[in-house]
This record gives sequence, C-alpha cells and structure tokens, in this order.
Amino acid sequence: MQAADHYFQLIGVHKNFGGLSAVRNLSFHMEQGEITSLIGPNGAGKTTVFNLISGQLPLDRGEILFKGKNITRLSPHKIVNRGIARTFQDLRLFQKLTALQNVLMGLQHRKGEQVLHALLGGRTLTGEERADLQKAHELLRLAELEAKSDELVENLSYGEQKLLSLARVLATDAELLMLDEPASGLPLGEVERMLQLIQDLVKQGKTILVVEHNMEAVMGISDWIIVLNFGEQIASGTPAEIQKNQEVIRVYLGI
Amino acid sequence: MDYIFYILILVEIYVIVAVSLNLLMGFTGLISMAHAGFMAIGAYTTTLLITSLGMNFLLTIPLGVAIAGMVSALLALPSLRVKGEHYIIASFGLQIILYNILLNWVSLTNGPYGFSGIPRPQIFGYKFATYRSYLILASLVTCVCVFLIWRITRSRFGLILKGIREDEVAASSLGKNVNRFKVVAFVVGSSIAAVAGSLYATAISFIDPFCFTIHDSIFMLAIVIIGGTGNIFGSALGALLLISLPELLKFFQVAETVAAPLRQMIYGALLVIFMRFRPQGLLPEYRARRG
Amino acid sequence: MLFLQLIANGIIAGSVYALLGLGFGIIYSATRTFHFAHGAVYSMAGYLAFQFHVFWQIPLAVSIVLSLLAAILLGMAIEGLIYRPLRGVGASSMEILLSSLGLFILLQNFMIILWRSDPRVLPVAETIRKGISLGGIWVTSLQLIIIAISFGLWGVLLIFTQRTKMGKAIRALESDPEMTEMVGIDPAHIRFLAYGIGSALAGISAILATMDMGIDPNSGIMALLIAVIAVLVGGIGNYSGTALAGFLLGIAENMGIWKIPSEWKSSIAFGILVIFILFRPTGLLKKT
Repeated sequence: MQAADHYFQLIGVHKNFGGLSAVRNLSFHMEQGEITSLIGPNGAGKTTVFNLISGQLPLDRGEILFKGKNITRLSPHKIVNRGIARTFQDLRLFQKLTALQNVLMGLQHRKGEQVLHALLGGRTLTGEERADLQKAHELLRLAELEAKSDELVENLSYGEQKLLSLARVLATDAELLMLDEPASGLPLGEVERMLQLIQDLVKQGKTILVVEHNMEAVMGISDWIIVLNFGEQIASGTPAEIQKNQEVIRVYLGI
Repeated sequence: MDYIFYILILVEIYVIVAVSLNLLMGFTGLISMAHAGFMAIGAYTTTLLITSLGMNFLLTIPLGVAIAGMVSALLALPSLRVKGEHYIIASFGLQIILYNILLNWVSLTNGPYGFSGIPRPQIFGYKFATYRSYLILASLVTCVCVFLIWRITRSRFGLILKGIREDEVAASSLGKNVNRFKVVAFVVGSSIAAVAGSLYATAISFIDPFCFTIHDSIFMLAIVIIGGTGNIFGSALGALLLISLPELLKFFQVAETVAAPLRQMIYGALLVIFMRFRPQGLLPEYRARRG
Repeated sequence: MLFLQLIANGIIAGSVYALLGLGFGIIYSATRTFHFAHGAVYSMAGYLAFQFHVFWQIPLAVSIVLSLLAAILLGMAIEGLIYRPLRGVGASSMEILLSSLGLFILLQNFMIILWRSDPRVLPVAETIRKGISLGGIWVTSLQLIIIAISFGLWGVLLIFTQRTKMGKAIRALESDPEMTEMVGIDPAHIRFLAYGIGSALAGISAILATMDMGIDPNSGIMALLIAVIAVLVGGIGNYSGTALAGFLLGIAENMGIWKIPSEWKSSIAFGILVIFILFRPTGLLKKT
C-alpha cells in the first residue's frame, strides 16, 4: 500500500532529548473514521508523539503525512488549519476566561480576529458573532455545560473542565482529533459519558487518535491499538490481538 | 483655573498613553519599554509638519500614527519571535536608539534644543488658543482613542490576545498565529501612543528629547500597572492619579532638583509595592489572582 | 595605528563590559530572575566608593573594600527581602521583573538625590593615570590594570564554577533546579551565593569604571543594558561566551566610532543585539 493511500501516516519518526531517544523510529498509520489508541507505560513517549504531530516539538528524523500532504515542519497553528487539533493532558484551558470564551477561542478564521474588522464592525461582523455564539452554545450543550457558559474555568470541576476541553477542540472543526488522556482523572460515570461522546464523534465523521492509560476504556472503543515502550513501537493490532500479546502483557505487568 | 485645565489636558494625554500601553501589557502580556519613543514619534512628526509645512494639525495625526506604526512593525517582527525577556530588552534598546536619534539627528530634530513655540491647532479657522478650548479638542481625541481601544478589547481579536497572554501554547493549539497577533497588538498600541504625542506637542508648545526618555517609558509602565492591567478604566484612573498627585507635591515646597527624582522614587516604590501586594492594580480585570 | 588604538580602546571598554556580563550572567542563569536592579547595585558601588574616599577621606583601598561589601549585601538583600517573598506568593516572572524595575528606579533616584547629576570620578594616584606608549598605542597603567583584573576574574570564575563544590552547585542550579534540590543542595543558599558573586562583579566593574571615566545617573541603566546584551549574545550560562561578547561589544563600539559619529555609540550595542536575536538566539558559542 502506497504511503499516500493512508489518511494519516507517521514514517520513521525519531526524537532525541539530549542523548535520550524519546521516540525511536516510529511508524504507524490511521484510516479515516477510525479510533486509534496509543498506549504504553509512563515515559513511553506517547505525549511526545502528540507534540511532534501537533508541531509543538520539531522532530529529528522522519515524516508526517496527512491526506497525502507532508505536514512535518508546519508550525502548530498551521497544523490546526490543515485539520488536526489536539487536547492536552493538563488541559491548558484559559482559566481566567469563561467556558463560553474558551469554546469561542476554538473557532477558526473569524473576521472578528482581524483588527480592522474589530474596529469597523459592520453587519457581517454581528452576523458572524451571532452564528459563533450559537455554535459555541451547541458545543457546550453537547458537553452538558451550557448552564455554566459564563462561569470562569477556574470555578469548574475537573470533570467539567475535561468536557470543556473536548468542546473547545471540537470548535476547531478539525477532522482529525488527538485526545490526550481524555478519561484520566474522571470518576466512573463520567468516563462512560466521555467515551460515548468520543464514539459519537466518529459518527459525525471525525477520526480520533487517543493517548490513554485506562485500559478498559481503550479496549472498549478502539479500532486499532499501538503499544509504545521507551519510545519504540512494540506491538500493534486490534484490541483482541493486543490483549493476547505476550510482549504487551510483560511490559505492563512485569518489570 | 487655567492651571486645572492644563492638568486635565495632561491627564487626558496620558490616558491615551496608558490605554494604548495597556493593550500591549494588560491584554497581550507584552511589556514595552519603548512607549515613550512612539509618543515622541507622534510629537515630532506633528511638530515638523505644522512648523515646516503648515499642515493642519488633524492631518498630522494619522501621519504620526503611520510612522509610529512602521517603526513598531520593524521592531516587532524580529523580536516577537523570541522569548519574553529578550523582547523587553529589544524594546529597551529601541527606546535608547529612538532617543539617540532625537538627540543627535540635529538637522531633523534640532537635537537637544527641541522645538519651542509650537502653534496651537487651528481647525476650520478656529484657533484653540486657550487651555480651556484645547481641553475640548483633547477630550474629543481622547474619547476616540479610548473608544477604539475599547472596541478592540471587546472583540474576538481582544479575546485571543487575552488567551495568548495566559497560554501561548494553548492559543496556537487552537490555530491562532500567536506571532501575528502579538505584532498587530504591538503595532496598534504603539501607533496610538503617537496620537498622545501629537496632542502633547501642541498642548505644551515645547518638546525636546528629554521629554521622551526611558524614564518616561517606565513611568508609563507604572501608570498601567498601578491603574490595573487589563482594565481600560484602570488605565484612566492610573493616569489621573499619577499625573495629578505629584502636582500636590509642589505644595510641599520641595526643590525641583529633589522633586523630580523624588517623584520617580515614589513610582518605583509603588511598582514594588503593587507587585507584591496587588499585582492586578487598583482596578482589577478579574478577581484577585493570588490571596 | 589608529586601527590598533581603537582595538586597544575596545579591549579596555570591553574589560568592564565583560565583568558586567559575567555578574549579571551568573545571577540570571542561576536564578532565572531578570535582575533589573543589578544596575542600581552597580551604581551604588561606584557612588559609595566616591563617597567614602572623597567625602569621608577614607583610604582608597578601604573604600573599595567597603563599597564591594555594600554591593554584595545589597544584592543579597534584594534577593532575600524582595524576590524571595515574591516567589513565595507565586508571583510570575514578569511580576518579579517589574518589581526589580521598580526597585531599580527607587534606588537610582535615591542616588540622584544624594549625589546629584554631575559625573563623579574616583580619584586615583596620578602615576597610574599617566598615559604610556606601548608600541605606539596609548594606554594608562590604570587601563592595563582594568584589563588584567577583567581577565583574571574571568579565569577565577571559570575555575570556581568548574572546580569547586559551591561553583558546581551553581552550575547544577542553572541546568536543573529540581535535581539540585533532590541531591540535597539548598537552592536558597545557592541563590544567595549567585547574587553575592554577581553583585561583587558589578561592584568591581563600577569601581573600575568610576576610576577610569567616572559615574553618573545614567551609568546604571547603560551598564545594565550592556550586561544583558553581553549575556544574550554570549549565551545564558556560558561564562566564556559572555566575557567574549563583552570584549566584542567594546571593540565593536570603538571600531564603530571610526565611521559613525560617537553619539551613536549605544546604538551599536543594540544593533549587535538585534543581529544576534535574529540570527543566533542561542548565543555566540555553543554551551559546553
């Protein structure tokens, strides 16, 4: 299968941090509409992979292709413009802004972002503002946060903040979403809700790459699983295959 | 009474300065030490155009803004790519360079002698000769400037600036070209400082390089910080307090050679005290950041 | 001949700049605090030396020692009384920088009130002020002493940070503050040490400059600007780079005067900074 045939592809990606390889010769691919999970013990390099894809970290070797185009050296905001957006393990919500404002920040290419439009205003601007508010409220409703739209993020509970972070990344309209530990730190009932939301996203045409610790969650929703250890890929396959993989079991239970 | 009009004019000039600097500092998180230099660009541009070309005052304002805009863009483009502290030093250095230009390019700026007897503006035949009448003109200009800045802060652009101030990485992860936003904010804020300079030149009728030094830039920082970063009214309050209160010092019959550094000492002390006990300033943007 | 004279002048100026850079550099790399007030510590040392020796007739050597002690105490007091409490309440680095700026203004203007705006020179024996000709280049013995002290202290600092326990602790704090604590070194002590050494270097450069050219209210801020440029150009944490950058700045400034009118001197320093920020933001030499 040609490289260009895959929806998303990592080829031979390598990242060093002062002598230590954080990611070593990593290659994998994803097809549209699938949920792929990256798992592995702490320090396996999962979040580094996200940072490499999202452009926050420059890679040392290798290539990243999305819909046939090379996105390896693009800066973070350009990656989002191409249609890939991510959440952060530590959320990185704007604590001093409201939930609504956080979601509004996710919207792309609004006229109001240009200073001249901001100054001169006009009817197209108010029209756009109205549409934005509507969309933002919709997303907040999806995350069951509409009641708290005008609440400062620092006043929301952790679970609410996690849902908000999802709503915010959805505002970007990105077709490939990278979710960093979406279920971690959540109480059981809320984990279910989060997983359900993620599966609904696929029904809306999104493709999802997830980094997660919670094994049950991962096995339950993934179409494909990639296992990392010390920056290298040690196994990949369907959940059923991975669960039976001796190497994976050793890495997680042994050592 | 005339004296009070004079003070009010000065306050309004510094309201423009503070509000524009607040756009940089309070909303975007960029500390500029060159703000006095941009004010100077407006002052000198207006002065030169009025005295040598007889241009109408109102026309000189957009030209001062344009020049300030170009200079600020030149500085902003390279230095905003680098870390926060490197950028502050670059703005520090720019202030020194601008000051040097004012001082040494004698054929253009009259060097240390400056310009005196700058005529009051004349619009549609009416000359704003008295402080009272000038106050009206100044008030109009100030309202326009404050309104523009206010519009910007309430817009999507302003919201993104606040996001950038809090977390650049998060902002760029949402598709925002952080550098572009910083450059635009810097250019807009610095250009509007030029308007204050234009007013200053025609109000005081005398300018020289010593009106626009690094110490003045620092004074402007103090106004924004004490008034309240991220709050337009805070900047207005800060300007009012820091301009009018030192006038009270004059009642204490302190020698001028001591009064000037003493005033600076108070600004410095206020900066230290506010950073320790009330970093959000007098009028905060939101509830206290730390208890 | 003019060319060599300019280079010589550059090395002399650069000697002071190198010390300035080293002083600010050790503080910045060890504590990551933008210590604006360093400029005031610099000025204070110069003015105090003047006060002790000229107004109070204290012998020169004693005046110098007292001024250095004062500088060291001032630097450490600023860390202990201002920066540490600020860090304690969770101040951001910008907030600390702004307090440092406020402190600088406070102290600098206090000095203006005490010592007015005229330049103050620290008089030294006439013999070392006499110009001598070294192969056609004019220098004074004082200036040669300045160059020697600068190179000497550069070497001492290198040996200190690479060979002694305390010096290595400073380097550890520079590269990895968390690890340092885990290894059992108290970062607070190291910070005080960094401020002490940095302030001492500032004091020495101030006293040397005051002897050679004099000190005035603008000296502090210009010294700070030069120090920062030297550190940024030379590389944070790179002492040799910083010292070299200081010498380079001195030479470039003096060479620049050849072609550019001398009033533009300070613009040269800034120009060099911009070039480095644009093309080599990590500094002159690669950090070892």
